Amino acid sequence: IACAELPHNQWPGIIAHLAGNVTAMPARTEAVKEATLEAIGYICQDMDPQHLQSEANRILTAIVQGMRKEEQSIPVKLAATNALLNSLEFTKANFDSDSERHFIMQVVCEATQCEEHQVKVAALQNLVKIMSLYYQYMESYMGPALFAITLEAMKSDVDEVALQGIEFWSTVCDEEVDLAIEASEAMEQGRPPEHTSKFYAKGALQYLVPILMHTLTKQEEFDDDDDWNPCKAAGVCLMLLATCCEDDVVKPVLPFIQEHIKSTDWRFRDAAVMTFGSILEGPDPTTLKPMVVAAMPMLIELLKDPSVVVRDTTAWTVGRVCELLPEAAINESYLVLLLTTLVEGLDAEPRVSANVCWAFSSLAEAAYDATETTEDEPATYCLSSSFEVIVSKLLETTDRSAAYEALMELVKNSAKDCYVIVQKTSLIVMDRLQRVLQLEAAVQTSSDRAQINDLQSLLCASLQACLRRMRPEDTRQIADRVMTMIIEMLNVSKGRSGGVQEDALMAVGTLVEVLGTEFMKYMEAFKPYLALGLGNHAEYQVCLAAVGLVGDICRALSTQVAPYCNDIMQLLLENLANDSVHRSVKPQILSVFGDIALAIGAEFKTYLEVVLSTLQQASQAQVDKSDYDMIDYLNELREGCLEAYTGIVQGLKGDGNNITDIAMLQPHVAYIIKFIEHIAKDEDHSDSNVCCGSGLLGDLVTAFGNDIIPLVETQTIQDFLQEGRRSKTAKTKTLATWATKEIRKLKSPW
Amino acid sequence: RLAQYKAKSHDLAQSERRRQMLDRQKKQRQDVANLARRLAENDWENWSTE
Repeated sequence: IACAELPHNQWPGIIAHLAGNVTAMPARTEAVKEATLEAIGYICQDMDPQHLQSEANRILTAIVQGMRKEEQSIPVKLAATNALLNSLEFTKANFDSDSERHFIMQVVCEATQCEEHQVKVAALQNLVKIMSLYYQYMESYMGPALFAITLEAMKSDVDEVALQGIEFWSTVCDEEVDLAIEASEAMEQGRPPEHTSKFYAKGALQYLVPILMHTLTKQEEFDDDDDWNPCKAAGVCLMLLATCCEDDVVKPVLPFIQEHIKSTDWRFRDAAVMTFGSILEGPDPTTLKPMVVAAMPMLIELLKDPSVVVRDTTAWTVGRVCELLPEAAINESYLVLLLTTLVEGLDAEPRVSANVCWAFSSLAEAAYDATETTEDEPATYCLSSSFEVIVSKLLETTDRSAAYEALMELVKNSAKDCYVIVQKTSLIVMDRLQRVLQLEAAVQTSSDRAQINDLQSLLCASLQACLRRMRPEDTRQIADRVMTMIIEMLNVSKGRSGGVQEDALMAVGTLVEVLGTEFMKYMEAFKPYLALGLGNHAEYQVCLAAVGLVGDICRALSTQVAPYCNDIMQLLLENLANDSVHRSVKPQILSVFGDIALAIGAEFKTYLEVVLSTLQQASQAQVDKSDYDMIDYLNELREGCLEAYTGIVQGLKGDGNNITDIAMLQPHVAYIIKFIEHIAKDEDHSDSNVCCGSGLLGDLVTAFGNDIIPLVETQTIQDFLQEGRRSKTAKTKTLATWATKEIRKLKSPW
Repeated sequence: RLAQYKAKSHDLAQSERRRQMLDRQKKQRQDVANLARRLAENDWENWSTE
């Protein structure tokens, strides 16, 4: 009730009343105090902090009263400590004041020493949250209290206590990694950073690492994937410490790894491998590389360890080596052995084989990147001789999603001499798709349905990977069969699975790209399915894929798409006007207006007025600037407008001979340039906005010539182009430079 | 945190495929526009900047 009424000032006395229950003399009963503190806790948890800020002092006084060590009742202490956790976000003013902060910290630290575990855990949770919210104020407490309290907690036999101790240091790492990024950004911009790191993690490293590695040996033999325990928390914390402390982490962990990697106790072998895998990201790769090369033969051996936990951790570690230090993974002294062992690993338990699949994904990319070729595709590469074995084994692997994802990566990163296998794979994938489609009628349970949907999506995506790699002449030969199957898939999945529909539409997009104007022969048959996708408001990913596909079709068919444009435009405009269409679809629709305009050129005149008025409306959108997601969304929406204008200008301009068509846009030019100025003045604009805006400015100048020079000579536009010329992104830099030159050319044509 | 445990960053799940599709479409759109501007991608390096 308080959460409903307080924001409207309808129950102004409630907090004072509740606080009074806790602080009243003579004291109210234990049950009243406990219930009151719970109520305060719930109010703090559920209400927007801005409505509680004015009551922060009263709330804190009540909470602290309940948390004092003099308080004898454990239930009251626990309720108060939990309430404090929920109040931390709106008590910034109290943390800003030294004396109040000291008092709060003292009460929290004392509560961590409570004999009762629940209170101790709640108090430690407070420390974790305080560290994340008020890092900059923690210097006075870290040495004298927090360090000792949290290390003690990490060593606790009570899992919940140990978890909070570890979480405290994981949070310190998160904060310090962010501060390191802030520091490097500030340095690049030649200014001091707003907040600075105190390097607590580096300072504590030598004390933390032994405790964490010891905790790593407390594995459960048969734990559930979803269980969270100190052993897993220690693995994550070690990984974060490596990211945060970089090279410094190597020295303190090495003796443990060397001592235990061959231990007779699987728990120690596993802990050693886990430690090794956890520190692969953070330290300088050149420091790590010799160690990894030396360790690889042992890791390959451990992939066959009798313990499934060790095999799983080793497969994960090898996956990380392949991803983070690819050069060390494709070392020729053990590559063949590694590949053979990994192929065998595909037969292992699902958790192991999933990691092996992931290793193959990274290996494929690493092997492809390692080829030194000036051609588009290398003639051969280090996976060529094993390519067929790996692919056929992946196709047999039961862990479907990871195996298909690895297959996609292998196909994507294949050398020329693997082409026949890629072709064969496309046929196998198509046969499988055909078989799955035949199974449709027999599906009875919802779990069967989910599996079939999942498989159809994966097969569709694998087929796309093959189509992208195949020669156009070979794709043409299978195009009829592919389209027939996709249309059947779209038919049977209609209203059942958005996921399948989305992947099916994406596969059509790939075919469109490969076939170009030859896709025209499928347009009549495909048209109804495109319309269904565009009208699928409930599953916005399907709608989004259909909108993107319209763009692909426009680029492929060019003017030939014109007969379909009336229907398409109507659906797109309806989607824009419909509030139930997910917002993420709308920027894409605007961009696709540009694609259509560019494809059909002067014929876009029919839609010009309605599209321009829609763009004008979209370009005036405003959002809540305190929400970062909405800032991103606004930038996407503006980018959609800029891309639409670009397509319209270029489409109407055509080859430059048709003066009347581009003249239709003349009355809107001033508005378009004002819109770019509006973006320029918004300090939250993206680099991508600058890129598209610069391109559009250049297009406008080349299309309209001298007439619009005064409009682009404003300080705002000049600063905007300058920002583009100084951008770190090559495309932005180039477009801004090009636009600037186009403007200069007009001003001084000689 | 559980998602960070033995996390595999190489993920070609549907969301990633969607992101790649959107990126590819954006790139193709820009390429077509730049072609009209006679700014073929390969020529970009030759454009002098400030």
